[in-house]
Amino acid sequence: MTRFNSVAEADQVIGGFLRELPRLDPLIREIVQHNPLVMKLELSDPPLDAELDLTCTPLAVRMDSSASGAVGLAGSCSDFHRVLLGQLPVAVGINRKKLLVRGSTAKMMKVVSLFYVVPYIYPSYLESIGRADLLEPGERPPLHGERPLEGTMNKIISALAYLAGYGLGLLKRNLTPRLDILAALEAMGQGLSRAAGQPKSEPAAASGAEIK
Amino acid sequence: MTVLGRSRPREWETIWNTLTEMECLFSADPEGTGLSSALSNALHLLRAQFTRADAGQPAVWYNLGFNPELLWALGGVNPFCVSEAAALSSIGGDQADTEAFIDLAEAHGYSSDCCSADKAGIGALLKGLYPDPACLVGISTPCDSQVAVVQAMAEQRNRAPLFVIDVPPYDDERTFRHVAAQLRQLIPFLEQHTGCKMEWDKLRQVCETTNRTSEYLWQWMEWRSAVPTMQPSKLAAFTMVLMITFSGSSWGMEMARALAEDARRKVESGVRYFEEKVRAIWYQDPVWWDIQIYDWMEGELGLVVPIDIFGYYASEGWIDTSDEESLLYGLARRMVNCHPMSRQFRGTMKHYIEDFLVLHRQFHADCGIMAGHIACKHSWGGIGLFKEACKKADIPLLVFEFDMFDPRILTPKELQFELKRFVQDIVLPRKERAARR
Repeated sequence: MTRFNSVAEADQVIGGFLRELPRLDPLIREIVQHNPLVMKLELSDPPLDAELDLTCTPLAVRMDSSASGAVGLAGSCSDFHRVLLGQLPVAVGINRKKLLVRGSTAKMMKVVSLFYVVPYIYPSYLESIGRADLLEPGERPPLHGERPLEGTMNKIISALAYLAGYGLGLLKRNLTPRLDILAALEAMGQGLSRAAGQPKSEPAAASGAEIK
Repeated sequence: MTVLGRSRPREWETIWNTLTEMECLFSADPEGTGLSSALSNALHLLRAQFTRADAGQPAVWYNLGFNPELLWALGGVNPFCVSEAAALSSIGGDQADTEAFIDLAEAHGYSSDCCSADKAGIGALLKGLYPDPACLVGISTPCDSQVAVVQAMAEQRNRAPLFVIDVPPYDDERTFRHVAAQLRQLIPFLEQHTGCKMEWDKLRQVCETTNRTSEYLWQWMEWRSAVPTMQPSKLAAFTMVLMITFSGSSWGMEMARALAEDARRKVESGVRYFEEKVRAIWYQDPVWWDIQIYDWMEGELGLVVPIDIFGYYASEGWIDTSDEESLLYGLARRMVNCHPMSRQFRGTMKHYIEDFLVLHRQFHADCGIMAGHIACKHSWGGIGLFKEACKKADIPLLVFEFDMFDPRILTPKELQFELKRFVQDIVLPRKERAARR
């Protein structure tokens, strides 16, 4: 199991990933169903606090805040890393006391959906920062129970999204190993945002949100 | 957003969506079948309530001390405990909604001294969250605050006819017969106002389901008494929810079966994820404004609650289904002497203190925690006797004021401070001293 040896390492890996999230603002807002909430992360061993602020656009990630947040999630850096990898489902983490959550259940459930998606991004991020050594082998357990898709359009779109993801995966494996998956998702988010009539988030604004 | 194809009040949509998402999340853990079952059966109940409401079936409202067996036996009736939306908002929805219900009731002039479970129930009524009732059933248990909520029920919207069950402050044979006689009078009242006929065979089936549920609940208690307790503390209080809302239904029976089975499997597997250091009988209302705080107690303090007053299912729960009289008598005795709180919070402090001492012994506890829900005047009234009994029995007791539905009375941080101080400064050093002897 991965252990982070210093605050600097945890900040580089986990903190760095969190600071990338503003790039995915439109996608994340869809996932949390546009709930304007603040989520506080309180990680330990080594200590790392972070705050995901969805009350502003683009969302802000702060590492030095003392705000308590509407919902909170606490645990060790190692366990949170496994959550991001999809190797520790949130439910298992809660039931085994590896993750402590607090706050409104309704709001927490909105945030939890993020952890169904993040495991598809985080490994690429680790590779992009040269930390593929932190990828842990092993099968990924199901992250959630059955979620039947309602409506034909949802099924068609999900199938198309799967095909697009499959195509990206093939490209990355066979042609362009350095393919930036985050950039692709960011572009998708911008398209989503534009189509919904929301202002496109500027890259400069996104990086401005990377407050440390 | 719609629920089952129809637009619902936002609060119901929040509850429905949150419970659905919780079920989806927690069913990913094959070891957490107790919680998953509770969630899926709560959704089954809600689905039935929405469907029945959409079909125009007559709704019957009731308050916290009543058990719905007679209503299920009427067939086409849609039962609603008036505190259901508030409790679900706290446990499986948005706590902010529960607080809004409380504030709304107080803003309408209902006394702030009333229980928050009732104020939140009244707030939900004022918001119009339940279908208009064909009639109302009020009962004077499990506490004095019920008088206020029954009055509030009667004052709502269409001023539906009200039947009040009076429960005397005794726990003897005469009391059971007195309540059973009122249940017999309740039947024609319900038939008249709902238009549904009560079938005795149907009531017998419902009570047999209740009996099977009781067996599971007793098994569940047995497995939870094991040291260490393997099932999460946050499930301990679910018996109360089960009795008030699910009693006599297949969903309730399935929930009780799954909780007992989950506890058994956890004990037999012996796999633990934290070190149990202190076992406490949580003797009053559970923390429902953030049920995850029990995970903090276990993970951070090693503090385990094997049972609380809401979780205790007394032996008077069995219903003799042999004839009409015995059915009604069994239902009455169960409501009076088994329903958590109704059992302990009427009349003298006898049951209150005796039950605590029994639970302390049977569940091998190290201490008691009297989380003094501010509206529970009956327990606060007897606090001197309770403290004295604990002192005589040499049981460390933590007493503090709080509110089970309202974190504005005692904040999460204040609660954590109280518990941490008690566990680390009182109970653990005491256990260490005893171990050295």
